[in-house]
Amino acid sequence: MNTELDQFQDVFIVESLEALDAMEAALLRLPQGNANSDIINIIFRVAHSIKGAAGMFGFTAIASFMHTLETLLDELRAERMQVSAQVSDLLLQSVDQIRMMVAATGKPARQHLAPPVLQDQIRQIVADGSRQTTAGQHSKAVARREASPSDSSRNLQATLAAAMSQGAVCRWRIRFTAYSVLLQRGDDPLPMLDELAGLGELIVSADCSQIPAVAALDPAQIHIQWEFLLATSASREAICGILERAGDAELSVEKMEAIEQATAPDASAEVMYVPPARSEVTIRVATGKLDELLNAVGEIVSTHSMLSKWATRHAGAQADQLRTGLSQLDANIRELQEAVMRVRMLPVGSLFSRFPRMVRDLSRRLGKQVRLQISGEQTELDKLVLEKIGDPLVHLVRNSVDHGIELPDIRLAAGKNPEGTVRMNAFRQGDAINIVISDDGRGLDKSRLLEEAQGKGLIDADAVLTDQQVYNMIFLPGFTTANWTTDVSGRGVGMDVVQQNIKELGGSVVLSTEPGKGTTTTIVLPLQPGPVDK
Amino acid sequence: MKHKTAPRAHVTLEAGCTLHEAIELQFLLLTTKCASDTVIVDGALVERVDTAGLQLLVAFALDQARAGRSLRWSGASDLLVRSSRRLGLDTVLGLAGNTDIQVLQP
Repeated sequence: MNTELDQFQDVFIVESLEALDAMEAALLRLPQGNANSDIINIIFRVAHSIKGAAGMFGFTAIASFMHTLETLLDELRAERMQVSAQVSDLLLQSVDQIRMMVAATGKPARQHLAPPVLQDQIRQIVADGSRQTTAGQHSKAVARREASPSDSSRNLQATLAAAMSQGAVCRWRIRFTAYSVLLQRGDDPLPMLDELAGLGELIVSADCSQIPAVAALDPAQIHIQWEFLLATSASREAICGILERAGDAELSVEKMEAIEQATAPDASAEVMYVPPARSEVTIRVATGKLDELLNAVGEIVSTHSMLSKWATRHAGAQADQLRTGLSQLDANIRELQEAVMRVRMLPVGSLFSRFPRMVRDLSRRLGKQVRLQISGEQTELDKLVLEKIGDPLVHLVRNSVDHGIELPDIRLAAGKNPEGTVRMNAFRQGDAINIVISDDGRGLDKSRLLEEAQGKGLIDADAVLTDQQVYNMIFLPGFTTANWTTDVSGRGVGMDVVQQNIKELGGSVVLSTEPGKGTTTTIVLPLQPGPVDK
Repeated sequence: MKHKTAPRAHVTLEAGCTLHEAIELQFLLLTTKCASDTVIVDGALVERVDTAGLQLLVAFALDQARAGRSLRWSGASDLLVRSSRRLGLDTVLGLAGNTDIQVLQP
């Protein structure tokens, strides 16, 4: 594979992994029962995008897996299947599986990208779901055929009227002509139209007059032109958001009259499709380049300092002018430094987003009911700091779920809601960023902590300690009460390591607890972190 | 005297009608010889469909129409019917409102 393609492949890996994060977040919001169409559409879009990109790079195992996954998603979207706990688990396992497959594309040996067992399980669950609904589907299929485009014009008004009752519905006329490379790059109008149909009532008309004879047809080129009539309450942005992905196509999106106005469409209203304006244009930059930029700024600061010293040793008009210039340069450098630091800032939500899945899996494994509440996701932190606090946060949240939140029957017996709550919050306070992890669990057991500390010889039997001093003992190295140490990803990280990591960032950890009410751990980080190991 | 009727051509589609299987599908359609006025297509086994595959089937249907032959379906999977309708190709393929078709789940 050549270097240029390697670069694109790197982008594929990064973007796919990010997309999978979004997919996982959406899956965790997917309620059981009939699939929520908005959420399922998001999941479908992600699956489809990865499939297309994987197909383009020749990662057929991934493309095939995504295709199978799309089949299941399609069943859910059409409500031929329901979201059950089993389906939900399968979808989340699929995210894990695809993550591994995507990550493996960057490794030399690709032979281990064989279709996974999970793919067969998905096929099986779809087949089982289909069998259960075959009888109903047969009559539905006939009914759907009866409502095909050939009869669609006479049904349109009734359909639109029905849609109108659900909100401010408008009709859109969309013309779509795919360029030849659309299929070659692994994209396909079919799932895109499924998504459009998810927005409302869709009538499709295809012009097949340009399709050559079978013998002359290049299957990888589309010769069909489409025109769609879409009745929906969705915005132009929502429609364009779906169509935008078919970048290799000629599109026009024309808003026809609102349903309420039974006037003829105004031909002059037609506009060529313009991608929706984005509030903020972003580019992807390797962090190494930002570090280079930061280093370059550091060099400028050094040179500025050297020139300033030289200027102080000279007198005269020219030296005065130099000092004035250097003073201005000093202000400019500060601005530049701050700007570069700002570029490195990322919302803490990018870190918090990994926790819903973790809490879900952990609480299910432990037989607990735990709700995770996240707030302050937009609070920004330096990227490096964000990376460094990941493991400490994992440890703290695991502690809350594992040791803080009680089993449902114990909570009920204590007069609590059987569902425990773990909260993650981030906010800025002055020149510091606070990250707070709290739970409404059992809290720390002071007597047990004292007993453990005395047993280890950390304190004398007659030592008099304040509550806070006792609680702070969990930060001591080697403090391993059964209640307060767990392994984090099998690495045996303790609370002492949590505190050490935070101190290395120039921050501190404060713990407060109330027996029976819960524990709150507050991490305080400086807004401008000191130098840290990269 | 017994009249020997011309044999009807039967085309049985495989499970995959996608770009990945396009070469095989195109070969199958090109090698379908028909001496009668009707081609019978069995799409009951189809469980993978995309636009490229359906476009090939439409090209085949148009070829038959130009030769004065009609296309009939002995079976069509639900996915095939649904996908062709979604792309607005069900009418030209003869899958729209045809209650004679045995619609099967793939």
